[in-house]
Amino acid sequence: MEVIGLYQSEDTIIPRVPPGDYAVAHDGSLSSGSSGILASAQNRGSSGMYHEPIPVPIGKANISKNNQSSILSSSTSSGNLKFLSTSTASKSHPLFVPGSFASSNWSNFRSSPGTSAANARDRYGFRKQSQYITLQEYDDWWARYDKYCQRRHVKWEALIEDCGIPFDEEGVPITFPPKSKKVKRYVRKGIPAEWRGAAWFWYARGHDYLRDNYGLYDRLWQQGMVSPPPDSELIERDLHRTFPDNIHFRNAEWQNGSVPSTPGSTGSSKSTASSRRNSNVPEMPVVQALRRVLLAFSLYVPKTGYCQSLNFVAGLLLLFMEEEKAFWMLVIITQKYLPGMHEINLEGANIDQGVLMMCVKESLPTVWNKIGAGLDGFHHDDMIMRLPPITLCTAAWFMSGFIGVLPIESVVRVWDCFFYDDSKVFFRIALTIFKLGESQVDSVRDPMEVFQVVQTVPKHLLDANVLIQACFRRRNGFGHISQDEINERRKFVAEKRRHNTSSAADASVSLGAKGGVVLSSSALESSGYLPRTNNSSRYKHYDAITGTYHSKSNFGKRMQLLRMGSTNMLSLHARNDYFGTSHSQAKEHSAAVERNNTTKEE
Amino acid sequence: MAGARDSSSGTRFAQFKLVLLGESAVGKSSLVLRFVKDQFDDYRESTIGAAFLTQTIGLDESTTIKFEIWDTAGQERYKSLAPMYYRNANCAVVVYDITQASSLDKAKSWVKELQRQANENIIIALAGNKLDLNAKRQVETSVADAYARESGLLFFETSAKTGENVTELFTAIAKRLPLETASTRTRAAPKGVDLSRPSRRAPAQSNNGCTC
Repeated sequence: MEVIGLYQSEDTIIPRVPPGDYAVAHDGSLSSGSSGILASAQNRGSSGMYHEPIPVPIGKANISKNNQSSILSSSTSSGNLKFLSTSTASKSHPLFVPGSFASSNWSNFRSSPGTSAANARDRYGFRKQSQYITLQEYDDWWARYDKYCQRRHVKWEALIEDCGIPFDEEGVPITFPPKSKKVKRYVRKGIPAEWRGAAWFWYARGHDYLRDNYGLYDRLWQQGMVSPPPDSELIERDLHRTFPDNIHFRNAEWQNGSVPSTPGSTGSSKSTASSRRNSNVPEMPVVQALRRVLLAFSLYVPKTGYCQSLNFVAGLLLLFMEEEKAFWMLVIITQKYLPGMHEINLEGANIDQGVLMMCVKESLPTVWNKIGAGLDGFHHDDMIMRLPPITLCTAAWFMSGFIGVLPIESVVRVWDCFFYDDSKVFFRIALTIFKLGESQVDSVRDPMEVFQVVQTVPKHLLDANVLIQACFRRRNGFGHISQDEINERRKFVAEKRRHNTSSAADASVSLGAKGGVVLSSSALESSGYLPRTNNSSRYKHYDAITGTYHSKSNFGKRMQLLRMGSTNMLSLHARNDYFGTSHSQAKEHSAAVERNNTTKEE
Repeated sequence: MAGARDSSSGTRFAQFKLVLLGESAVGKSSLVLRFVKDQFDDYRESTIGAAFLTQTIGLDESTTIKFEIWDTAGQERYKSLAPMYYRNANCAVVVYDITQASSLDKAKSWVKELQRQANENIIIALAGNKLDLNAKRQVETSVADAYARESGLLFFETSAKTGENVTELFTAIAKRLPLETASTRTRAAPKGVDLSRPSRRAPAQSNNGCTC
């Protein structure tokens, strides 16, 4: 694999950054203090447009180089050999660029079938075959899908040209069209693989972060090398456990094909494995980049630090974009799209799982009957505080963005939608997986078996089009779940969890009285979230005993908060604690609740 | 809860829930993979959340045991999820890496937590993995063995890579499990509840007062 450093010469850098930024950003200092890290450029260009790259003489490369020597010496003294080897290796190419995905190189993977069926690679360097998908299945699907991708590519090109957007020298549009119904449709049908990194970065508004924090990434990773953050050891442990089957991440010795690691052929791995471990093979460039990204991230977002699963997220990003962009995408994903999910207490993950379970209970009651139970086989009342064990599986879906859950082509298609449309996409996809596996889940008799089924169902979803179409189809799809609804539910679940943990005893008293509880029953009722006690006409089929509606719930028209069974919260309305609201109402209600709370605080 | 039934043929069949705990990268998933599929990868992807696997073994001619295995993520922050697995577990394998002294400390804290929080009859096995890396050993067998003895744990040094002691570990656990008491409980109905019914209130028996 070819690695292209951003550094063209010792003192010239040619990044793709708006010209307006050049004048400002680099002060030439390499500060390891927080003020230096957080200092941002003052005078930045207002447009996010990228223009032709302009060589700019700055002292950046020299700084890196000088700093390398200090890394070397400090690593030596601290005896940290891993860092030593990294810094040595990164001396010549400080930044990783996904050279293999330059469009000219894509065909390499398409045309190289690999030495054996088990080693045949897809266009991203992953194994085509898995425990769940045979090579034949893959190839049959790919023959169709490849043509589909080419057709979509032509359509996308036409769209980009219609928008008057120029292409860069690698044939990637320099910007992407503003959001519209048409563009959304295009995104859902798949962004051309060669443009994916650029499009993800664009729609996630990565440029804003890059522009506002020019040079920060370099300072962070360099600092991380000099004085490794607390999580650096955890990062080291996972570097080689990130896509070990991917040709870009795999040890060079493996790549030579001398030691084919074939699942199932246990004999060969036994005899040769030890030699591999001890051999001093240089790390793959992408692995070094992964280290820098994760180190920089753990310094930049100490509340999260390093969380297992971020290695996969960052690893996949690195296959599609330069490492600095991958770093900012990681920041954006963890701060904007999936807030709190990877933080130390994983509360964001718990909240989203609570929301997902609510959604499953409403939309897929058959599935809920099977997955909502605890390991003892019983459905518990308070599923928000005591999440069903199935969330041990589904939390991983969200945390790793379905990497390792869905086949990789489906993952990137999900990510296309995700970066364009925000986190609701993950909920929709999770529900779609359950929907597609509904009959399998329903046929389970042994309560433990359900875990295996839920684990296995997504791994078979090779045809990304089937998944995406099932998700967004009009009838029985999940395309109607809005981000507002997800956000409201997140708020609800978060409040409920916080409330239950902090003051379970006097919960009923504190509700509303403290003013900060968004979903106090009175506030909800007054703002229309909760149906008034007598206003049950809309809910004729509501079963007060089981807490479920018999009629099919409709997210868009009737956003329901589930009866979470808490007896100490919303006690008066425990049997009516759903709220019906439309998409636009939700916003108004949210505002109303906030006004309400503000008034109380005052 | 062990699900055990006597079939008409007189053979015994029992199901037990097993949970694997231990610091990250000590080889939990590799141990399971060796046990369940007799495979090994040098670099195994980190486990996110948890993985669920099953393996059935014949303990003797008339006894079959099915392990329902939760393989967990090792990173500290995933620890808060652990009660979900071990709450109803019959047995636990706490794994450490013989080449990492700190991983034994972590294992000890897991054992403590299990002894405090889990089912009081839980069978706990301590597994010192990566025996194939004996040259890099940091934890002496005698030290871990002494600890296991005083804490009442089964103890094995294992290698997921070579397969050494892996089957032995799980077989030893199976032999310790309360087959006799389990097999006497030959209820006609399978364990668990009728899941075709809608959700309902938790029965008192399952509620140990813990809301985590």
